[in-house]
Amino acid sequence: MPKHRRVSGLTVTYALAAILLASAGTGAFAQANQPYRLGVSGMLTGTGSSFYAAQAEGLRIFFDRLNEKGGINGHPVTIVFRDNRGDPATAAADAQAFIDGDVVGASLFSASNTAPGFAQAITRSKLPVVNASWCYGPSVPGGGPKVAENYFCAGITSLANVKAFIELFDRFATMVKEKKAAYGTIDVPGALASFNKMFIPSIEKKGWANGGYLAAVPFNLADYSPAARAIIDSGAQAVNVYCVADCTLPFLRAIRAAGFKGPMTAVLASSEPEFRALKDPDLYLVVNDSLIEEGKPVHKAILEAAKRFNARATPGDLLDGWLIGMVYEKALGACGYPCAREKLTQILNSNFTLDSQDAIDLIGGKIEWTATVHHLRTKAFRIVHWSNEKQAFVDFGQAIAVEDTGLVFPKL
Amino acid sequence: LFTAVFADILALAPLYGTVALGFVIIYRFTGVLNFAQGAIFSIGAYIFYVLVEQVAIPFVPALFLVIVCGFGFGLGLYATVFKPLSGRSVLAVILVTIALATVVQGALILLFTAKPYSIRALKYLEVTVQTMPGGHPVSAATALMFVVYFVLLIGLGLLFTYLRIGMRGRAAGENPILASYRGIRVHWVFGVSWALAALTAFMSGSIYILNHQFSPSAGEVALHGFAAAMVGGLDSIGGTLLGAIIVAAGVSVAFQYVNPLLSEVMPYVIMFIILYVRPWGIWGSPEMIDRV
Repeated sequence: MPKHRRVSGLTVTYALAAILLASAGTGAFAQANQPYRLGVSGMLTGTGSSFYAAQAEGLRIFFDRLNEKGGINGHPVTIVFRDNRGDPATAAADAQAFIDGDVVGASLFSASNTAPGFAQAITRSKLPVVNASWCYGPSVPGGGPKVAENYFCAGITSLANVKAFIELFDRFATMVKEKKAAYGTIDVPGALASFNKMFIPSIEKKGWANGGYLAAVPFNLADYSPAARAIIDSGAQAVNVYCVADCTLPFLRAIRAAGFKGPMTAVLASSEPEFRALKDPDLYLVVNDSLIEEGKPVHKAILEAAKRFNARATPGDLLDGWLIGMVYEKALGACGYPCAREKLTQILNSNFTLDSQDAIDLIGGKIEWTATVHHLRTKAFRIVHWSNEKQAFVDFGQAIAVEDTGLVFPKL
Repeated sequence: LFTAVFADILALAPLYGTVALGFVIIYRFTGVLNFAQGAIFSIGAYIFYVLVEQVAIPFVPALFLVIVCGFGFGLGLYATVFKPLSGRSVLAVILVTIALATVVQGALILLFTAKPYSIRALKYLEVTVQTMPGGHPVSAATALMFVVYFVLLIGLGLLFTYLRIGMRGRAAGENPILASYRGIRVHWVFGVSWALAALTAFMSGSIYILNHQFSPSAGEVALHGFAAAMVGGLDSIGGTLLGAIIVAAGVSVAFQYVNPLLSEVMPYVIMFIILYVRPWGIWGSPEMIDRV
């Protein structure tokens, strides 16, 4: 073999050795900085997405901020986002992708119509899931997810919202000539069940008659004026609309435009500026983000993170995702690195309290994570309505305290 | 309850009809089904929103600017996207319109997020200008959509029937090669058709958001306009009126008498029935059908 070939061979050997050494070094470095990976299937685009996209943003900015401070146990957290557009089949496919992938935990930020398929796949796996909003047990007709060993939900249940509505209708009793109501509720199984099994029987017990209009409202009605006209024709004196902002807002506007003058109620869960723009003194809103208050540290922290990491939703809209971030921070912190899915599930099945700096000033106390409730056990929902004098939302009486029974419909 | 159905038709039909006009113009001039019409509707809505809410331009100048923008946008869209596709199959062009719709929606989400917006500066256009039988009010915005639709309907009808550009457009739509042999500047005619279609979409989008919440998916309402165009006849300007009334009545009856969930499907149920019985639509031309 010619000399220059041997030299070349040696050079190649040295080069290979150098590459191996370098890659080993890089590998060690990389391992130290390897992230915890989380998966999110969210209703990130399409009609109805503003509420859920904001939740996903809340989670993202929580971890962007945490990563900047060094992450969890020295490891950053990265999130794999998948957009299910509110489509159940896509959500189920997302769940399978997360199960087959390398994420340690996952979340679903989406309406309950996407939950059954997602949950079905998850419950056949070991992957722990923490839902950003509401979770429905087997008692929900229409196929809510069976809450399994590895399936957790850390949001305000629609049942809790509905209990606030019931109290609110008590206050309406003195404002109407006749106790006749009309209702429109979002066409997803969880909300429908809470509405049909809890809200309607409860207010009927209190003497309210159904004005003749009860509808499951789709997210994406092109025009709500036919629904509004049906409400007018029903002779209702009070109206309850229960949906996410994308359908609540146009529905409320259409009802007023159709000539309805009585009190209306809805949930203020996102798009607050749009609700303010209605300037409607007879619209009474159950405030879902009553957990935070302007000026308090957690509110400031969300606001700063939103600015720094380019999230455009309000702190109230971002809060749900932020809370899920706190849950993962606590659980992954206890899990160590690397964290196995089984161990994370085990931690999430234990009782704990969200006691980080971010959680200490939540209104109503710290979030207790128990077997049945993953939120505040007793929630105080503020009720606000527009004041023309103050040109702002003002409280309508005392906040309504609601005991969250988790997934259990109480006996009437 | 009949009065509610009547009020629904009055509110919905002009919107569906105006959107349907955009589909008909493009189809008649170019033989293409433009599935991006909803996306163009959304762009118009957002431009109007920016002009009125962020630049604080009063209603009439803002609407005028939107009309100008719509015309320019349509011409630009044809010149940059569709003119290079000349000579390709109609199917390829249709697929590009579908892709365009997706791209536009994604871009709007990036620019404005997915949250709903509303026009606040023009609340005076929500006032009741007329009360229908049954006590159903008609707002100024609804009345405006009604007027705009009929102005466009009559204007486009005259254009297609009596003006040279309209007749050239029909010729180019039926046989572009023969039309070009006869000295018709086919690209100019096609460009004008896209401009007119974009103009109608921009106008309908702008007036729609006067009393409706909107988000990047607002263009979905245009799909009801598509059903109206198909029912009336895809090459018939007058057919948009009939199609819009039938579709609006179907939506309303489903809402008031059956189930609100059915109301969103109803335009397509009606479209299916009509196309099954009369594939060229009620007032469409049978000879146009093989192009679809």
